[in-house]
Amino acid sequence: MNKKRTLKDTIKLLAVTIILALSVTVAWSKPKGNETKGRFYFKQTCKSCHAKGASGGEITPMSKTQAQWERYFTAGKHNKGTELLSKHLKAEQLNDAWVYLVNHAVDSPQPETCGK
Amino acid sequence: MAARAKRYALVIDARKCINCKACVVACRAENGVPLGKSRNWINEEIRGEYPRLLATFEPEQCHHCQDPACVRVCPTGASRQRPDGVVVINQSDCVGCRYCMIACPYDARFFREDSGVVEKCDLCASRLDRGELPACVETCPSKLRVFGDMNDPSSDIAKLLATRQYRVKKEEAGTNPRIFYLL
Amino acid sequence: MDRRKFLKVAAGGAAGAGVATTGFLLTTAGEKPASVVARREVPTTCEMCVNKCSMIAVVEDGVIKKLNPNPENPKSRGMLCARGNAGIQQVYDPSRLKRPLIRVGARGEGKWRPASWEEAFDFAAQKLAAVKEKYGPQGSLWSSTESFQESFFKSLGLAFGSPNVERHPTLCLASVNLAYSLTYGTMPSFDLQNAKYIIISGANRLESFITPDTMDLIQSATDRKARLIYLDPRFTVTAAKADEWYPIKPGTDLAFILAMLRVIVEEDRFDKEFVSTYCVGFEQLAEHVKPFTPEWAAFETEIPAKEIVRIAREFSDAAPRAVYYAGRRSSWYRDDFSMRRAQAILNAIVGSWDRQGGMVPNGKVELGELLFLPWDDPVAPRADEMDKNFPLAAKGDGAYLTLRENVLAGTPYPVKAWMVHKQDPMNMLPDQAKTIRMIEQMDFIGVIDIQMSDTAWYADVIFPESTFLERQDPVEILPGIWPVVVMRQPVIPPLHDTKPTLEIVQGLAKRLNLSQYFDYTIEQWVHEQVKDLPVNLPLEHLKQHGVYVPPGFPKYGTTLKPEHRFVTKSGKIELFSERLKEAGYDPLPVYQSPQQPPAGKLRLILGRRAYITQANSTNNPWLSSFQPENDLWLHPTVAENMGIQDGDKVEVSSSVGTVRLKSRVTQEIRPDCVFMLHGYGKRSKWQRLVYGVGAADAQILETAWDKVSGGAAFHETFVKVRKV
Repeated sequence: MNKKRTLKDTIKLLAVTIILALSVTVAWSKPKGNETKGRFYFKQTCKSCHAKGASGGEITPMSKTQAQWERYFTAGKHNKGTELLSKHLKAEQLNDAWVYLVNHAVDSPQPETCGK
Repeated sequence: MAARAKRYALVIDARKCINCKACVVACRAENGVPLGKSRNWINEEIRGEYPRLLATFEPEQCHHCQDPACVRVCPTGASRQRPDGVVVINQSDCVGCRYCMIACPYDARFFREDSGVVEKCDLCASRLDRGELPACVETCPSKLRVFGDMNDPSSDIAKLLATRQYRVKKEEAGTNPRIFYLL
Repeated sequence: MDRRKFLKVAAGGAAGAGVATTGFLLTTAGEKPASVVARREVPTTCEMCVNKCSMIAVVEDGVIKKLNPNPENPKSRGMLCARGNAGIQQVYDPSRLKRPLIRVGARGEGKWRPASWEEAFDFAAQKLAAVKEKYGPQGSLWSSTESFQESFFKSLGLAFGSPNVERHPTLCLASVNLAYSLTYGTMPSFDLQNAKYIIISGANRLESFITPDTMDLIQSATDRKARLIYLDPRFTVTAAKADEWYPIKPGTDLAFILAMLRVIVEEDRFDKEFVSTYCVGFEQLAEHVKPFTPEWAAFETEIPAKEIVRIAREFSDAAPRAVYYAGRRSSWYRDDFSMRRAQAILNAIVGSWDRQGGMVPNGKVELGELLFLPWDDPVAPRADEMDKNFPLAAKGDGAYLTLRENVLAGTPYPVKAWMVHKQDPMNMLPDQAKTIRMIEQMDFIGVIDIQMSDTAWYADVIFPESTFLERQDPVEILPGIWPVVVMRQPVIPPLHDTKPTLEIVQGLAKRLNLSQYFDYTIEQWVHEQVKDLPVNLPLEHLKQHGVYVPPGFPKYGTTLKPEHRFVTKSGKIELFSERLKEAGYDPLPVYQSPQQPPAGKLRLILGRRAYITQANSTNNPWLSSFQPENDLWLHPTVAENMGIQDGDKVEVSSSVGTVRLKSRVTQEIRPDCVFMLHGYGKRSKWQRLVYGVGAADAQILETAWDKVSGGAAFHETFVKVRKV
């Protein structure tokens, strides 16, 4: 039992070291988009048609999985593929919304917190 | 409404008491009770030996006796009983002789050094007059006090007294207390 | 109708009371015939602890006379606890913070000069700008504890460009929330009102109030509606009211739960249909729990095997009206998360989910929001290195103890300015000496608070906030089985030269060129929040009632549809967690026998009293009168061995510090533990009732944290006790 644990710890330590090494190189690089702004664009633009009871039907970040959101934004199509997403948001704004929606998708890790 | 006299009383289900002191602070706020004194309190007892322990908490305040010893001994009539049974002290008539404190079997009264008069629970008489419950009754998280008119058979308190077993404290003192502790 | 009246016609038929029924903001005549008193009743929301109970403030001639419970809130119902009742003292406390202060002596010396708001803002903004210039915006730390205006403060830190917004959960519920989130995708509530069987590990719910759980538990326990099994090394009030109290060996709760799991699995007592429809990983769980026999658990926990078997059987018989109650406590041990996860798993396999008497996902109400184009996300990574240290934890909350380690080490970068919002890290964090070192290495410390906390005592500038009875806050949703929206509105105007947090944030933002993110009033903010609530005149409704109660709750079974997708990786309730495995953790709860105190040492455990809120209410005279000084609980046999008698002064020391306080020799604790209350032995002289009175646990608690959530583990300290 003890031996197993030690081995596992070593693996964990290794993994952590690798992640650490990676994070040093990527930590300061600019992320793909701005999540806080993405939330704003989603609320301001998307929600105008996709609120509860609105014409486009309710859509929230939890309407799709992370992979589904990735595919959705990669395809860049809106309204059942009939128009381009870029009709509604600029490229940079789309990137922001992309990050926000992926980070809050239904299968994203989003542990609850105490209060706000 | 019938002309039958009201008789306010308290039923206390002490098993529900968690010794949280909400009633004590509520009373302090409502009645401006100075620090170090209290119109109500919780008797606390822990018995037994680890790990077989028992704790009992028992809230107490003036028992608003039917035959209050305090009223009998008061030389000025400051201590009196209202027609609804609530025992009150008229502060302007109190001379601070403290006979009542000695007479009370429950030690429910205290002397206020700042005003020179004796004080105790009056079931928040001014709240009652507004139609509100006494502060201790209202604020309690356990709702362990049931307050009401025991002469009104439709009241919760009368129903409890009719259906449940209860005890009173220091019955032998002969004052006919009106706090009933459910068994 | 006046919701608080018990009689239709008051004795003597007081005329004034009738007038009051038309609205709470009306002034009505009082009872005193000689002098007419201007009497108002204002519904608002308590802030004496985190519960946010609804209350009605009675104001006479401009003075708050009484705080009464507001029965319209189904969470707090018609109750107000001792602390709520003592809220008045917070306003009229002569030693509260009354105007901005700037430090003139050395840090911690307690020498201040009063300053104008302009001067205090200028001072702080200059210091913050200097740190930004030298170290970048990430050189600043913004820490806060939950309150209705916390989000304004957090926004200022983020808009300033700092990733280091550090919230309180890792000193609080982080391990509990994470364990349930990873299992169910959410942290549910517990339907104690309808439960028939309740097991609690250590959550002393009858002394540490949570609404409505505390009231439900009292009724359940005393009306024999539910069987209450309680495990705690200490005989608390909850222990006193429980049907069965087991003074479990500290740190072994997980062994108890694993044995319960084994009994329920082996004896086929789990809810097969629920498990196959809604859960993943049952086969791995069944295999995993095989070694954990009740006999093994009995040895670990000191709870007899036959009782464990019986409790497991009774629990599964009572399911789904049976819950292992999560409680609401900080972490205790380094493997706290695993213990919480095991509880979540146990509740799942008996099907106590989204059904009456079980766990229920929180009901939700939607509020509007004032939308504005926000700031760019901070560029630098967090100083607490959440991604590396706790990859699954709530990132926005941070991890306080690793943060402190990193700040002291100067990694990954220097952090030199610390803004604190209504938080007292000096008393919240273990190892106070370390916190002082963290303070000492700061170029600047600014504190927003209502009282001179021990942390404020070490600050460079103090911004006094108006108390909860003097300010308008954003409205807030209290989620739960009965979700409600609560309003906190000013009962009286501020007594002193204080401001609400939003205005403090705006004052700083203006000088930091960040005004565009705070260009609104609290009234505009609240208007946007409430305007679409489905009730006539929502704002007026909230002002008059203090609470909005949406219809249709409680709701059971909203997730009990086979097509329902839980907010987890698999979309199911995860008994076995792929996500934990991927992150390098145990995918099922693994038990490690806790280290026991070496000879001559005892385990320090913490807990609560109903009239004390963490460290912040011991200076309230109405509350401190019940316990003016804390003491060290010590079992009689241990005390005798040490020659200690009840009331003797003792010295308690750990590897990080030594304190002295009185002993309380009592049967109410295990012989291998000692206990002390939190919130005493303050350093701030303005906390006059507890300055140097009793002892601060923070001075002797050692630094330890739960491995998965980062939550501070508060029961990992062994102390030496001797008579002095």
